[in-house]
Amino acid sequence: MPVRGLWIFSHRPGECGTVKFSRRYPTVEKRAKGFNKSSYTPIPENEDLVNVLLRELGLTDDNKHFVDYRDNCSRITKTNVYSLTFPDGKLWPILAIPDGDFIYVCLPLVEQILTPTPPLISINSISEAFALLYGMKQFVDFRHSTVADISLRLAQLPLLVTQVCPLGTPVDTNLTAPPEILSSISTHLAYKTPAWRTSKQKGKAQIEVFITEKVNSTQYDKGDDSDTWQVYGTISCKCNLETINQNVIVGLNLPANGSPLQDILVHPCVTSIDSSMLISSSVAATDDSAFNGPYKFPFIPPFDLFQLCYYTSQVPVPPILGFYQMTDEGHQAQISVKLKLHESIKNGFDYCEAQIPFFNKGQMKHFEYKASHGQLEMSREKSRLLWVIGQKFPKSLEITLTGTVTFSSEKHPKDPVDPVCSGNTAYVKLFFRIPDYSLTGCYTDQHSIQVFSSAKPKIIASRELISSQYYIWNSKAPAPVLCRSFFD
Amino acid sequence: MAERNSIGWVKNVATFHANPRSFLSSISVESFVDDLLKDLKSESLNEQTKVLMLDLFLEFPILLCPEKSSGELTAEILISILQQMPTSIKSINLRCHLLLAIETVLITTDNFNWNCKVAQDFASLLMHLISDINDRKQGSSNRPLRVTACECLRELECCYPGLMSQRLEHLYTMQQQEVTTAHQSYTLLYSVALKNAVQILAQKEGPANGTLKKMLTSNDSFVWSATKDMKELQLSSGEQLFMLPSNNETKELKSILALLLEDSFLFTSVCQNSLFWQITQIVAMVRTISPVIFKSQLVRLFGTKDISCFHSILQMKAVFTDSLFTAEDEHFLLQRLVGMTKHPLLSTPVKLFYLDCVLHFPENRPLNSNPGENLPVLLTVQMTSSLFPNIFNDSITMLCRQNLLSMVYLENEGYRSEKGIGYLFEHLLALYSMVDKNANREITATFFRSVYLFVRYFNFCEKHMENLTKTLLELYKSQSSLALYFINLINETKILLEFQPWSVSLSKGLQSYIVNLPVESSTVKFLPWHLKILSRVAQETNIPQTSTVLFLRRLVFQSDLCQKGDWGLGNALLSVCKHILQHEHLNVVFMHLADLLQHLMHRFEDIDIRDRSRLYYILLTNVSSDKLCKILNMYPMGGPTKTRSLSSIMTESENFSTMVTIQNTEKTILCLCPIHDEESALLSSAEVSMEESMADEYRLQEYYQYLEDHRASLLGLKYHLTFKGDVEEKYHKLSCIVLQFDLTHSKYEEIDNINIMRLYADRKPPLVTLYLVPKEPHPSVLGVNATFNTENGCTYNSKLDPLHITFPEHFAPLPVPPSCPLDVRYHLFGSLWHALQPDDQNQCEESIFCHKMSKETLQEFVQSHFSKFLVSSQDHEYKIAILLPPKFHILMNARYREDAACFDIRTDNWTILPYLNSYLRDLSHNT
Repeated sequence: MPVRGLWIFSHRPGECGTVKFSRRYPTVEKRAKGFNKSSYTPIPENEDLVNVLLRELGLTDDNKHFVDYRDNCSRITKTNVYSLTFPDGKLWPILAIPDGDFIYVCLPLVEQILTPTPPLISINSISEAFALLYGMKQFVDFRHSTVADISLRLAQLPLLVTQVCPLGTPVDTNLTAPPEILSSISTHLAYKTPAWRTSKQKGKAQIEVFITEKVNSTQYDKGDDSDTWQVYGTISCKCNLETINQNVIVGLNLPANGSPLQDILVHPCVTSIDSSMLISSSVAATDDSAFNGPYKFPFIPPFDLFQLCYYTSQVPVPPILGFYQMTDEGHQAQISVKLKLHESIKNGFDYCEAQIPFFNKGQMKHFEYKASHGQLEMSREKSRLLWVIGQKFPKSLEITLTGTVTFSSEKHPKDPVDPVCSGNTAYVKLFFRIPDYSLTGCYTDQHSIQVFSSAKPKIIASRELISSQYYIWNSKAPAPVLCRSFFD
Repeated sequence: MAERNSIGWVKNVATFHANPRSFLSSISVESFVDDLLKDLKSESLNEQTKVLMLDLFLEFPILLCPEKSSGELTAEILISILQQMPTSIKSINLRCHLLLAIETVLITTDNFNWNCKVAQDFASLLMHLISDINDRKQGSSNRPLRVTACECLRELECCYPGLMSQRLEHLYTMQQQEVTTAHQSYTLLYSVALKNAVQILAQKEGPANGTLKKMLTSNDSFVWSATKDMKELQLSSGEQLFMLPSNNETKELKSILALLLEDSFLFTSVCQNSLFWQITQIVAMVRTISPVIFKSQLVRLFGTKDISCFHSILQMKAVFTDSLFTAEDEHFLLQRLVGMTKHPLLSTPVKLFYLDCVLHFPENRPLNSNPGENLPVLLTVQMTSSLFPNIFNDSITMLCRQNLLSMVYLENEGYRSEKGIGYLFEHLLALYSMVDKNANREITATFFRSVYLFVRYFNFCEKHMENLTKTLLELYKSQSSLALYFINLINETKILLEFQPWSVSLSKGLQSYIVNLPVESSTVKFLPWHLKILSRVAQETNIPQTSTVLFLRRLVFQSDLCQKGDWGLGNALLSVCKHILQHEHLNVVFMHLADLLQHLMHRFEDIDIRDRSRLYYILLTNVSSDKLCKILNMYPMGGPTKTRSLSSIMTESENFSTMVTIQNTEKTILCLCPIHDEESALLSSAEVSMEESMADEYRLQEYYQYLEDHRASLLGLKYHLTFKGDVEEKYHKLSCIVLQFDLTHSKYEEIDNINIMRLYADRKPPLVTLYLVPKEPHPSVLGVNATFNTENGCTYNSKLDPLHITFPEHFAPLPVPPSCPLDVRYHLFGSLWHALQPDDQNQCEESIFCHKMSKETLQEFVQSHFSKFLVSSQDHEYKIAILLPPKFHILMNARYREDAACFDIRTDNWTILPYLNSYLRDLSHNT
């Protein structure tokens, strides 16, 4: 259901907020007046809106130590939905999603009286507001675009927003693929077509399926079960097929020793789901007889690259097991790092490196080391060591690094500081990518991808494993705990 | 009004958008709308500009058509424009926008009704447009227009429920026949009309048999009576819906709904949500249709990653509870929901929304009807174990998870819960150790919030609360500057737990720590914070104050506090005394307090403090304690004399609003208008050089020394202090104006107050020069406050609009000592250019900026924007040197090369490059 207004504000610390985009829907506003009755608050001018919003988000008075409206301990924000106070009353529910310098803002229509505040779950348009803002965010793509690109996209935005959301009620949220304007093909179809823009063949018919798995880990070398690791994966797809109403089935297979996929979430273009796929969940205790494939996803492909499905999984061991010991005396630190690649993991990396940062210690002046494998580099700002392990672990699958780091005694104001890594609390962070491999074992190939058409499309399937937050904490000092076990 | 060509209109529309009211205040609305409408017909404007112009009608119809009649007229003209347009593919965007503009104008100006012919024409036009099923007549190029027309009708039906309730069969037929991508809009239009029609039937008491069937097969015209009053929109929450008596005719309706649902997977996810919501409401009203018709959709929705689709299933759950969801389904849904609150591939705002949904989960059998946060009965400790907060979470997630888990552990008893509470406490300690090591503001605030939550839920756990108090005391010992957080925590927990002594024990602990401090420099350093705490503690009636008074006495007697005579400290001291004066057990500390006050009134080197000590002393020694409280808490009855006499009893911690000698003006009455200084521009036209040798002598080192010596005066911005708009007469003659600057974002070093003798409304505004010493030459904002006297002797304080200091306002020409010739800058440029060579060690950076322009434009460009900073110009090569006070530089070598101007840039502060870039880009775009 509809929204009353959409905005993009920009804000940098120490500067005033500016309006980058704004769109109001007066007919919806008129309805809001009718529904909200005495609790109705009109939308103020953009400038007032941005000022009050920034204040509510706690982005003003940067340098002040304690400001009651911002720092009061009983003021606990629970969602990205805010209530803004204006002379005319309270404006609620303002959904504000920050992304870099930008803040994406939407005010959905609430079809009832606003006092007392109804729970968000009961507001039909709140999820549309989320979807619209994410659509806008994806289109503007603040994080990956140049300034020129962003201003170009902001300039295109008014027209696109009017196309996907002409009168406040969104018909689509994908701004990168607005409804097609020009198409002279007049096909006489027998059945209904999907409402999203589907693939249209240009060049050879082709289906690409990418499996990207990421692995998190936190290791302490404490000898107990406090180490944690988690895998999560994304299946991305890009189809280039001839007709518009093309059904595709992508199947994922697990080998016999593979780890079942959990928490599967699928893209809305998937036409049906086998309920047994959804049973395995990281929330409930897993049961041994869990479904383990093949996972089948029938769908009607959108024209662009899209995420067919997300999943998580629990694998029995982390791919690389490590320990890290660091002790210091005065301006010297002794370090010792040991990494072991598990034998079941493919020993062929695109890259593999270990970063060893030193916080709150000053700049490195001197470094002596012995590494059984790979090269060592010092970062430009002299606060981090980089152990480049390369493409392969040696035959023993085990590598070690020992060394002594000497720090300069002078303090520089720009020395890296981290509130967590005080004293000897420190970590090694691993970065690696293993191409053509997945930790769960999950894969797809041309036999598991079906297309119902006469011409067989070319099928490209690939997979990769990438490290994400892969930390090995210094076992000689206290380390932050990430996970709590209730089962002992 | 600017020119009425494309560029002029683009500009106009942008200015309008930026601030509609101020734009319209400067011109006549009617003539502006006339021009708009005229130029929409004109052939000289391109489609794109016209679309932009129409956007104004889409967004600000009421401002443009303030009256009903002007709305009607505008709509009529827009329709005629639409009808005269050729139906080419090119104009499709414009035609869609025209439809939307007409719709918006008609609805918002209350013209959509039976009496308005334009409205009737428009409605028929829309019906005509959507009747071209499957692009048969107009071809697929016209499809966007059909979709827009459908959306217009849907909006009309939403605004005027029942408008299309007599044309359901027609709409249904079209919905069934349409197979192109437009089918989604037809279906949604039908579903809204159907829902409204059912609702109207449901509202009528006991509709006769056959009415439902008649309604489904109706094929009349619009029901214009629906447009009568829009205010009576039906609220859409579940309980308010009416029920229909059961009968056999629901069979047909059921099959229609089933067909609608069958195609739902072909819709975009937001439209699926809309469709499900309409059908949900229908099924909720027509009790003879079982919600089981949704069953076939559930599995797909259970597994979706899309927020709209998942929200749909949650809403169905809320409406249908156990008539659609078995206990097993409910458990499964909750499990999915919890899984989504922590799914690593979903974004944080979405996960927070799902966390909120968990706490408002619509249960089949809720235990209570409390509208606030409720824990679902099915949620167990195990299910939430992976939601444990950790210090790597963002602060909102951290607190939300703590809140949820606290509720879980409180609800479920047993060893797991106890363990959980212990874990939460450990989490608190982890945050503590970060705050203890000087964490940033956000973490500090999060820690205190986390403490607040912990106290809220687990104040009965004595062991933990005792540890918590200890931890907090440790924190205060190492970070006394967090005093305000402590006071806030004490205040808030006191409100939270009325009869629980925890906040008192924390106060006691803080008191006993402070009063046992030795009188030495380290204590004095944090004295303002300690006194704030003591002042708060003194307000607790059941905490004895003897130790506090003794501490203060020791402090005053043993330190040089009195000799230094710091008003602020004296004030803080008196604030503690004032609260002790009101303390229930004043008699216990009577002697010591009298001693203290007496010492202050004789020795403190500040007359105000001495006076007030004397007053307190007299009150203490002469007035009974009942009266004392009354006097100290007295509020003025009004009248300026009273206001003033009482204010001297006040201390800074009080609420000043009713007892001020300085009053705030209601609105901003003053402003600082920047003056564009032309004078210094003359300097740059460097006179012919004198002797070169002299120039050489002025070395870089001397130059930097000069900068250092003059750092405070390098950047002077000039303003006129004037009245803002029309001000009341009492403000027409102001004197003794003091401007104070609030360095909100601390990009500048401290700025001294500026004193101005007078500002009279009928005289020339005084000139104000504001000297800034930027820490970083970035654009920034300054808060400005003015205090002044009016003619009648009152003192006012007025906040000015914040002063925006733009990036180019930080520019200054290279300063040269008066003794040196001006061409010294040329040489200086050379040496600086060399010195600003970037390398690994320094902050210098090189950059280049190119823009296509002719030789002449470049010359004009440099002359008009950089003449002040020009140090030489030869053969279309310009050297520009800009000082960014106090010590940074931008050096630019601008040359003309192959149809473009190239600026080689060097700077000794790379952080300014983005600003410089955008500045140059803006300038060159406007050239």
